Amino acid sequence: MSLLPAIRARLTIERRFDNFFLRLFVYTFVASVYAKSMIANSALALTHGFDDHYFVAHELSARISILRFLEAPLWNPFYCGGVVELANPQDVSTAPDFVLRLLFGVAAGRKLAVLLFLFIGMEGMYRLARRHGSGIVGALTAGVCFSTFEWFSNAVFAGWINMCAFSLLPFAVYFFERGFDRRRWLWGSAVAIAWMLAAGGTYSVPFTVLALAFVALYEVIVRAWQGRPFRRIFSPALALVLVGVYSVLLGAMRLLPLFGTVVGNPRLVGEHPSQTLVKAFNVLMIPDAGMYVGSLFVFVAIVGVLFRDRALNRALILAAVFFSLTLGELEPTAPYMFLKRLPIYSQLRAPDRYDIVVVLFLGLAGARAITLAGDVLATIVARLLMSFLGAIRRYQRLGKPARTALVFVPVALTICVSILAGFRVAGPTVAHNHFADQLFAFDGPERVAREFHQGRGNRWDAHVFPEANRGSLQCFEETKFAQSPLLRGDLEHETYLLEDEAGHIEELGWTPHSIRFRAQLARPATVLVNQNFAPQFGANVGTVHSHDGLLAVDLPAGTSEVTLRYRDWKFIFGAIVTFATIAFLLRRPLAWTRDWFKR
Amino acid sequence: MVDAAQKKLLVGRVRTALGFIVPLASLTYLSGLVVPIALAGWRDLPSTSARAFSEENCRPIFDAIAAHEAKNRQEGKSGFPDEPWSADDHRAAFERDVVRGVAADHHVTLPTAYLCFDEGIRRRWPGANGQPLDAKVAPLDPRRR
Repeated sequence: MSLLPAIRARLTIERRFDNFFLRLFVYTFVASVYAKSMIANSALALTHGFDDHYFVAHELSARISILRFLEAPLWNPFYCGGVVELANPQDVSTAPDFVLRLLFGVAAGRKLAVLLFLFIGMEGMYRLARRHGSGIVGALTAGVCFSTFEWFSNAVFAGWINMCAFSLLPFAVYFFERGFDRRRWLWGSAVAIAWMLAAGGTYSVPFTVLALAFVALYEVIVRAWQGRPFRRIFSPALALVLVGVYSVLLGAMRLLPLFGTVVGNPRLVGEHPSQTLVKAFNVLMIPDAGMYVGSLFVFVAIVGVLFRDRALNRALILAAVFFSLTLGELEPTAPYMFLKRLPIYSQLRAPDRYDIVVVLFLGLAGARAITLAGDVLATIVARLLMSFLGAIRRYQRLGKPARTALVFVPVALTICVSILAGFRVAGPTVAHNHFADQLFAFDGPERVAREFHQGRGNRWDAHVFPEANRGSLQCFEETKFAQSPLLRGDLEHETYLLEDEAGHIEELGWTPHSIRFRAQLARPATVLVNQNFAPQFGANVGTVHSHDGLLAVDLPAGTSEVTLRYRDWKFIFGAIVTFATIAFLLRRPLAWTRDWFKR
Repeated sequence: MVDAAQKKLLVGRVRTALGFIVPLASLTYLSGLVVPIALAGWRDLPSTSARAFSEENCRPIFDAIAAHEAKNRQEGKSGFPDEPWSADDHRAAFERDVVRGVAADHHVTLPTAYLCFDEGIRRRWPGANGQPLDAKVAPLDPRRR
């Protein structure tokens, strides 16, 4: 008796329970346990992590620009005396999940974004695992373990909600693989990458591209080995190129301004991290080591190799490739050393973060292993049952109901056992990695309606200042943005004359992206603005320039009403490309929706 | 006895009912998680009047924080003697701890303590040495370690 009857019986049972809303119930249950403290604490409270305060400050600035002044969030005058907003590699203001911050405020919106990414991660992993032949229980177990593994909890604690965009990785791979045969699915992968890019994907985008590249490489090798036609062999490679093009088109609004920042202004990477093989294993298996996903989870995935299953082996090979990258600069010949020679990858640190991709592929292997173990167990139980009944010889002569019962009963029992096994595997992951009780217990910002002024501020609690209409000159950024030494936090007026006696300045209006004032000058003079200079600033009168890094404009004698405005043509062009691409994609939204729910 | 047609009809009705109940139960459960956060977000941030930052209210808080300014600067500089931005950043980290302590001592929120201190620097109230506090910062120069 082969495994086939058991598999058929399992698939029949699973068809009845493969329902999105049932899964949603399970996801909600997992979220209620994993994120209990986040849900129970004040929605407006923050974490103690100073990075949380940094991101909240930037997001508040973007929200103020959009909602209060109806301006695109290109410039953040509330931090460092003015830095780029959208062009900042860590900015999230064009990400779809930023809508939650706009609707419900930054603090509550960030919490809702965490829940959204948690659900997206579980569903993406579920769909990917199901695509690779896993049963419902195995796929759900993998989804839960991937979405709740320790790194995500640490990211939320630190305030790196942008890193939660890694939850889109399973969907990126899922749509990419579906796109090998039908190109339109590649748009799904591109949407996931563009979302990551918009969500400050300094790590998630390069990691995802690398994951897709290795998946494509694996498929090309396997197809060539199998002697498939030339066109079919290179279909994954072509899919990779197309995903790249689609992602660039969708992400143009963010990508073009970002290039202006990244080119010639590299992130500072001064570390040479490495870890031994044992430590690399331990961080996945030991609680509080940073990447804990559960020792049983890792064990099940690796032991699955005994099944000699193609999908499982593929997942393990890809997991091993990325695991080798987590070793970092262990040896001069370590894979990470080669990766570091590539552009963009040379600016990334913390190679242990490749564990996120490792967990993705281990999850696929684990899901398949749980499913195969269930099928084998069901077959053994059915066989024992038949032996017990002395029915083996007469099996073919039995009536259909009796034959069905002989297979379905063991399969149903095995599914119940698999559910318990799933709890046993995923339970420790959720139980250990859930958010700490006092995670969100820090005073959020308060709103003070008054004129904007720069203040000395303090970057460690930067969230305090934007809503109080104050800038924080004291700041930190991963990118070395220019900051003028002339900025001050004690000026009565933010706009003033370089030489006082040259005339008089009257401030008329201020928005995050524009400064309006009237200048009455006895002679040509320079007006200084207490903000950093950026080449994107222009004026309707006079010449804008940098005065020791400060925004300055040379004006002629006489009275003039001056408007200094920040404009970024790269953003405008990028926005046109992005929205044109979205319009193209939405031309048949109903067809997409129908296909999505059709299984 | 229930004939086959009736049985089929019954099964169909049960399926229809489940098709309605399962989404409803899931969405109700989900909204129990999400709606409280969303509603709290809608209520928006607490507002503070600009008048709350008058000299009368803020001066004690400013004085308490400013009293540590010299020490904070000194400790910042001793940590990073040759790196002005890092020294200033270190100073700000000490200041953060002081502000949190002062906020607790004066029973005000953290934003109120910070904004009072900011008001004192802006209006050039004298610090512990009788001079206004330095309102400038060292330009951004993030360190590599």
